[in-house]
Amino acid sequence: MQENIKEWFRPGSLDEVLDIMQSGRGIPYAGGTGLKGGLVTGLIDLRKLNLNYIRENETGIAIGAGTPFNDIAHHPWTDGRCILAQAVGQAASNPLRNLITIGGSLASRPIWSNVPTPLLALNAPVKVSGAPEAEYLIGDFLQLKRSSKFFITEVSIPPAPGYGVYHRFARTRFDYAVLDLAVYIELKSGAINLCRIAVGNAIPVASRLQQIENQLTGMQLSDLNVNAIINSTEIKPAKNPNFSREFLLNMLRTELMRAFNQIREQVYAN
Amino acid sequence: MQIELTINGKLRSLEIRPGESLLETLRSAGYTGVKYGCGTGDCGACVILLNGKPVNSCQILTAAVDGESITTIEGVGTMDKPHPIQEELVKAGAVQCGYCTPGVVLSAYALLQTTPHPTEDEIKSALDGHLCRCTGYVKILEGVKNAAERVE
Repeated sequence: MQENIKEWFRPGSLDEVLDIMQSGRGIPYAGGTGLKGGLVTGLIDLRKLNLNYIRENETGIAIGAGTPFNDIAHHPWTDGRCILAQAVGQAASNPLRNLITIGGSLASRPIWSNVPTPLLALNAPVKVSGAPEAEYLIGDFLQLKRSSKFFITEVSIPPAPGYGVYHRFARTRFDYAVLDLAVYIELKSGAINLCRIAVGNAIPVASRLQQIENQLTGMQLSDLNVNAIINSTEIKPAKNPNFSREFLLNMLRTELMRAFNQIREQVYAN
Repeated sequence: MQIELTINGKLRSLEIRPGESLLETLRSAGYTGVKYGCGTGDCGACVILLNGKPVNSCQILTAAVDGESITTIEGVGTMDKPHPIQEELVKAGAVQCGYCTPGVVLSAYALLQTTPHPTEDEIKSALDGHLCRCTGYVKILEGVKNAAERVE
């Protein structure tokens, strides 16, 4: 029982949702797994907004904010975008993945959410309604404060014709990830033409390792000495009560090397 | 507040409180096959089917599913007429205290509705939200595999 919940709103438009949020009367119920006990008195039922969809449009595949993780995990992705399916398919458990939505997960960014890391590697835009209505690249979106001034409506996943890998390391299948990593690369004549490496959990805010990306771009995949490049780059792991920074750093290096080995296998298999 | 739910195929009108969980609503409405375990979505004892998909009823506020369709273990099998999944779990020795069993049966039921011939990995993935502290998981997997051979 959430004793603090006194009222439900069932709006039929985004304007009504924003009005309720901005007047402080309620927050969206976007899966319900991350309600803050005691702080919220009103909840907004979003079902009338029909934000549960995955559809192709001219810029890629649009995912409605109300789409549960399992729908994304089971969508037939055909290119590098499958890293998003791998990530959300490993989050929490099967019954919870039927509840957790991509919008709710991005809005509250709980520790167990695997969403930001693959979205960073795919450079996905996030659409929000509110003040102002806007579309942010995921990297910029993650820098925004968790505010009541906007409402996430859609995440757009651009085409990803290259190669992607997602790794998640946790002590047990159901545990929070100690580290997650997404790598996406595109090749031209065997050389890396585009490289995005995103890390979550092991560092304070999920972000891209742009220094390493810049060093890898232009290099031949076959000649790549990822280990040397990673070792020459300064990465500051987050504080973790269970793991030392040295452990996290070594884990990150290891997972990154494994990811590139896996990409090589994918490339040579084609 | 007043809501309507279709529970095991029957339309029910229920009086609930705004912060009430679906687990609390179902148990107080007499569906005691829905079990309270951890209350945090970790154990799977409270799993029910919401529009045919397994979900943790402890993590859902009832007001959020007004008008939706719910299946509890009472809607799958009875003591007199158990579902083949229930029979196969018993035969495999997968039931000891039985507290996790309703949730396990419902997750397996949902899996077999969409994937009649699941692989072992698909069964494991479907059941990854259930904790069993009695029999372990080998016998549960065996029971679900055997049920898959019977259920069409």
